[in-house]
Amino acid sequence: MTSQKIWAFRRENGRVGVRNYVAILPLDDISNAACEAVAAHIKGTIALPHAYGRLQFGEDLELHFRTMIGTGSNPNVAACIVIGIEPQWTQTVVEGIAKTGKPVEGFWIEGNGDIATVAAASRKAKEFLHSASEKLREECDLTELWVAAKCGESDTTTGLASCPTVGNMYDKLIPSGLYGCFGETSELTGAEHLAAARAATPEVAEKFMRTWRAYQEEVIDAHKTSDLSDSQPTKGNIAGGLTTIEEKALGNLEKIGRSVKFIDVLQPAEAPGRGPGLYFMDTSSAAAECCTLQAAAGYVVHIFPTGQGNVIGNPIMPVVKVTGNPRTVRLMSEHIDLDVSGIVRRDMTVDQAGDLLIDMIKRTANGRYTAAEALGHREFVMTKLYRSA
Amino acid sequence: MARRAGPRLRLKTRLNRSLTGFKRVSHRRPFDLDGPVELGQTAPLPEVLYKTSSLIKGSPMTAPHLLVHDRSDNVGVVVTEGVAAGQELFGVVLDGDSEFRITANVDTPIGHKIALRDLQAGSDAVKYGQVIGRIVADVRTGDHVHVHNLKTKRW
Repeated sequence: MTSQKIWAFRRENGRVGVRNYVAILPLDDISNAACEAVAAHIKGTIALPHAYGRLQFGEDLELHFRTMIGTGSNPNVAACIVIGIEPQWTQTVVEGIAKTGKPVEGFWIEGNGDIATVAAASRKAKEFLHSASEKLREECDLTELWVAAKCGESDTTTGLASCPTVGNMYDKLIPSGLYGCFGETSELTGAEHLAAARAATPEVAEKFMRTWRAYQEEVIDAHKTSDLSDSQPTKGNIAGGLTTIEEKALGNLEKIGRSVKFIDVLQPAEAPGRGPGLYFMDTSSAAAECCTLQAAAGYVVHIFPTGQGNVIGNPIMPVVKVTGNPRTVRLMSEHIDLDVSGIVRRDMTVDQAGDLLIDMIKRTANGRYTAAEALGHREFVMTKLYRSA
Repeated sequence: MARRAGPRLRLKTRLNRSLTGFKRVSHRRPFDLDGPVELGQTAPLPEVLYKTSSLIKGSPMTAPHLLVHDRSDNVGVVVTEGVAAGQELFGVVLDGDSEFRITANVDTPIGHKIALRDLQAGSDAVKYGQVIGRIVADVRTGDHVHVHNLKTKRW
């Protein structure tokens, strides 16, 4: 294999980032307009508008703060402006992000109005931008990266080609120190026994099964109006030939490889805390929600195997699309970063595809724009657990 | 093979090394990656690399129409476009790398499943060596297996 070095941004806390954003982060829905005004004013900054942040409580509020703080703390973010309607919750997010040591400052709208807030935040954003844009990439080890994975618009080629390619990459890089992450609690239904068997210890396996059962009982059984056949598999999955959730789950699980074991079960947006290795995160299977949570946990590159051609991106984390479906390559090539359809033609082995993916991760880390970045896909979707107060 | 400096040379070296198990054929027909191939791009692989498909098995082989994950599976996946009723399909079982032939009974889109044997209503459909659901209408060998004759056993 070629060099395992990448050129990336070393942050104040030692973590390695592959992008260099100055993020303008709204605490809440009603601060989106001010954040977008700042980002429109100061070129090279990025606003992260979203739909929530008011009157949330309990576990849902904790998840909101974890996602906000985690997003601002992500090593792909060089510096962060937080704007909220009021100072207290704004300050909670600012203090959380400040623990990374990166430049962060909060602004609030009540008593100031949008225009004065935007003016003050713009001055600070400009200062952050000058500083961030002078930051140089340094040589870092490939395995210092945190690389998450989630598949979407899956079909039967996902389980034959693109997911095994991701699994092969994890099998090769995780033993050397890479952090990995898979999620999609509901989409492991039918393969949950095989997933549990890949836990590193019986304790982690039990934690996984508790998480999976809780989803079945507290989300699906509590809210379903019929069986879930109209949602899972999706209409796109069915068009692609997937018939049942069991079949979809078995293909999904191919992306954790053959040998690597997962060492912990994370709450949504929880940063991994047991050192290098593969982690399972309790997430929705909806692409934008899952990617947003993984980025908030600190993952800096995302690998997205797709069959029928999901077009997802993320504002702060490059999402690398991999497909093994030759029809999707033919019809939607602009969305595909890595074509591994050679696997189903038997032109290419999974081992070769895994090497190509590692090469693409390095190129992405070094600065190559992904298809999603080039096409402007910045889906930032907060997970909400229940109605607000 | 022409040697050039620069990135293309590195690509060539790496790919050659990844295929060193197949020296016999690569000597007979050396790689030439001077075509418009860039890793990660969607340009088709050069023909010569196509030919190496046979190298995975060590015998000449066309691209399969149908792939089967596990020897115990009773359904296979169509992996080429345009499979038509009455067409004889070339299949490969990935587990053990064995080959077989089967006739498609109906037009079957890429990615969709074909029954490898007769399956009675009430029996299990097996893929990846695992149960993926219950057959709900009798299926003949070569039939299209999908939502009309296979249902989940969950939710």
